[in-house]
Amino acid sequence: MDLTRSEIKITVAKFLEVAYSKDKGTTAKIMAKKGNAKLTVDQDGNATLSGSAGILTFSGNPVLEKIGMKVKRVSVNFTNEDGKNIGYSATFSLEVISMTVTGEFDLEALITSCSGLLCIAARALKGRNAAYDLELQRVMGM
Amino acid sequence: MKLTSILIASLLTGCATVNTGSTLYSTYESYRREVTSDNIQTSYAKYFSPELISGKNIANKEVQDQLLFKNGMLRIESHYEDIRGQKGCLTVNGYDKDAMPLSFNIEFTPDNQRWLIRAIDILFVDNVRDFSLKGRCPSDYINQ
Repeated sequence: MDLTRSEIKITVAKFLEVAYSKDKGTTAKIMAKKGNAKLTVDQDGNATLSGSAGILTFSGNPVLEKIGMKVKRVSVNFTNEDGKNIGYSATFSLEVISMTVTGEFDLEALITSCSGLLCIAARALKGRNAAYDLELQRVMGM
Repeated sequence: MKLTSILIASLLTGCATVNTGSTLYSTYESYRREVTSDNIQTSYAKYFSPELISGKNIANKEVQDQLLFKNGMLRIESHYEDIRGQKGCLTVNGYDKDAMPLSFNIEFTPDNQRWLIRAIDILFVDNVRDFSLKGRCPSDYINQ
């Protein structure tokens, strides 16, 4: 299989990045609210980020297309217990098997602070390279 | 009347258990030993249930790679299984090519006195402390 654990973690961050670029206020509210949130993406790229603070739909196609293999469904459960660290469990359902990764990331490092990675990425869409992916990977818990 | 009830109960119990003559792990070991990228197109039916592979193009490289999921684990650390009636679940804990821990959680179904794989989840864990010490099903981990 070509999909590795680090690629799955980076892909989860990239879905959040697309959500953030569509509606940073709603994305930040959903993720910052203590409790559970959920991200689902179907095979057509229809993505939904939902939680008690709101719901956001967006196209996950730009991210799905970069995976390079057929993904039937992505489902990520987020748990925010302290308003800062977010635990997550991400399942990628492929044609025959599924792959599940668990991890934790610092919400501020990824989203809420304007020094957060997605905020920086949103401000400077150019310059995406391997270093950016490595930084996403680091933030997502590896 | 009491005897009839006992007989019916015995028959029902007999129906609820499966005698395949093999453990889930021995079936997995056989799959691990025998199935290769060279023979997957002819050997898959011996190990995977029709339910899992129905409608899949076995000639497709992506599908083949997934059926050869065993290749993702280079070293096996431990294994546990749990069989309940018509369903068996095997957990194989081990390490990938980067020596990172991962688990295969595999569901089996009985078919003609043997076990066939019905579902597979590969669980990437960060620490060996996260290894399950009992047989777990893919559905224990897959987010719905």
